[in-house]
Amino acid sequence: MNELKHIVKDMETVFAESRYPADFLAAYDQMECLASHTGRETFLVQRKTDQEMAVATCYDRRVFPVRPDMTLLGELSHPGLPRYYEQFQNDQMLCIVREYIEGETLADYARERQLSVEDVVSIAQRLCDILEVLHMHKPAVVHRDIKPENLIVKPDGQIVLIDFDIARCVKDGAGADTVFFGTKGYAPPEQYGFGQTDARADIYALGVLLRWMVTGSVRENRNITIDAALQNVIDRCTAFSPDDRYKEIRQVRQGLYRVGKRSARIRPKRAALWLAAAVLLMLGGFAVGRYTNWFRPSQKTVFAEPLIEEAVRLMAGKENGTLTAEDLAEVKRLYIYGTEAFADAEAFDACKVDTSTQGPIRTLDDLALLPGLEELHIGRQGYVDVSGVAGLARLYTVDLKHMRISGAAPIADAPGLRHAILFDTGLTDVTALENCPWLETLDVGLNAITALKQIGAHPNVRSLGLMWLEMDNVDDLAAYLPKVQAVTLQHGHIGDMSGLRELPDLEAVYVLKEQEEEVKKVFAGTDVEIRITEN
Amino acid sequence: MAEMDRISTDELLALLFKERNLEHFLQRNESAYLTHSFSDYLNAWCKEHLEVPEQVIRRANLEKSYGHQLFSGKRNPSRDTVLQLAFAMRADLAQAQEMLRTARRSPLYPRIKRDTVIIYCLHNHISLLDTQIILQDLQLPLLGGREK
Repeated sequence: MNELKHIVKDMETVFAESRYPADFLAAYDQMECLASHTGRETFLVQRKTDQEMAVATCYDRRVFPVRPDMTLLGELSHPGLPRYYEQFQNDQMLCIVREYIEGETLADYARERQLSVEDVVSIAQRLCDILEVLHMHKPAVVHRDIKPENLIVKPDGQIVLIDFDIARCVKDGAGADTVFFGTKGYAPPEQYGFGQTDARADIYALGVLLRWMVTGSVRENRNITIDAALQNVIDRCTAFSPDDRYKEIRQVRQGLYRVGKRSARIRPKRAALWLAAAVLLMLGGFAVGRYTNWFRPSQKTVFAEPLIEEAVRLMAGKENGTLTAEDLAEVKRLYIYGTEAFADAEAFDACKVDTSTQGPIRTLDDLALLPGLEELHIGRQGYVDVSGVAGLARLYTVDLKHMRISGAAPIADAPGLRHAILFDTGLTDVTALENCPWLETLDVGLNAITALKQIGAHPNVRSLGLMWLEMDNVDDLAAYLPKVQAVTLQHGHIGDMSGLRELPDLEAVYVLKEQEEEVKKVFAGTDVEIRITEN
Repeated sequence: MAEMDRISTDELLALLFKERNLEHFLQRNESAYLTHSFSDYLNAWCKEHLEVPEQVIRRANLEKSYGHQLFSGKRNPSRDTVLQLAFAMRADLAQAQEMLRTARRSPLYPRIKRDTVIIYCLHNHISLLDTQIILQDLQLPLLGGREK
């Protein structure tokens, strides 16, 4: 026992002078070294307070005098990206702590399974969703090290992109990358110093990754036959010159979508061919084409989002068959929540979808096919690019809830917008909607909005939704939104509500029972009605 | 590795340095390059040391059915479990590192305080129980305290 005490004492002496920041070691136990490179180590760590596992990357400041601000990960909220926790530093080291992702690397995952074309497309599409978030960030973030070892497949099948060590923000007008970083085979030519890397570097690596998933090699091998449509996507991604590649990740996703559709159709198509042959044999020389429209060429409408197509078909009353231009022009309303489409507002409102079921929609580009669309109701999705809303001349209601959207600006490009419900959409600013002169309803509840200047001036808004918002005050509310008649305040907290009293037309304030007393005091002696709601 | 003609990495390296003909070396040591599973390693060790899995599982302080699943290859061990088994199999540092490599787990890393304690204890053939006492005295997470 005495001997053990000596060992403990010796160990304490040995580790008394650690090069890692003292506050880092005080907060976390280093459990294992996941990777070690010159001047950089990545550890699995365990938080001492709650035994939560995390990953810490520690940089030797002599080797890495300047590190990019990794708090960037904090701004990029997406299920496919690890969450940033905190960082520690001393004279020698900088340690950045992020979320630990349970699962196996794509390298291990693919080694243990035979990936089908459908699997490959599905993985690549999920990666596209993640890259879209990075590339749409302002300024755009390029990962620059996409490879199977940096993708974690979680037990639920979700893909997470890790290792942002060499990610960079794209600077307009910057010259060539001066130092090569990345992984041989996956890095595009410009990453070797031929030019400045931009989003197309990630597109190149994605193409190499696709090839690796299909052939097992990062190098081109024309002896292995790849699905022609997939080969086309790979070729476009990996073109030597960035100018010959897809320009945006969205285009890659569209290419993959076509591969996925084609692949899903191959098996039924084979059966159909046999059936067709049998029919032709039976009919002999009968002129099939004359009495049927089987061989008449038809223009097929292709949707990027199958769920939007489902919603459109519901509204058009056409479960199958070709949707004509007339069918599409007749669609006035869309109702989608999570993974389901609904035929009307009643069904949409009544749906009690499990709150954890996030829908698959990532883009609203399909809306361009619907020139007559007047109302759009979508809830519970992931990150959605809403630029497809822009320019819809007849659209007057945009109702988006429980999702992350690319911004309010495209919505402001719907010239006739009257009702904007943008509840829990991750927005920090809706001032773009100042361009909508007809706006009557504005709901910005449960967003990262803490001041009126993030909402902007809207002279015609009658109904204002501020649920779940934390604000110090609403001073000058009458100047920003002079015609407001009703305000919803449930679950929110406004430190000083006196600004509400200044609204000349205010008729009603909606609050929870527990907020009633506080709000009544504010409106004592006025005609404003305090209405109690359950949620 | 199913047979005990298995040689360690160090021994293999020593043989390589002695060899003048690379082709001969590769042919002669072909079996050393075969990929073996962790369960193969465990079973081969038991066979060589005339022990039954129960004895190893008990010394490693593992739950019995979980231990048997490791021996049958039905489960993959966590890093801590590999280290507990290394103590139970009286492994030295090189053998423990090889076990970790076979189980596709991170090797012991001397810049980590906890790993340093484990390296020291393996090298000095300190028992698993005493190693846990040292870890506890140094307020470091115990082996097997949390399954990754």
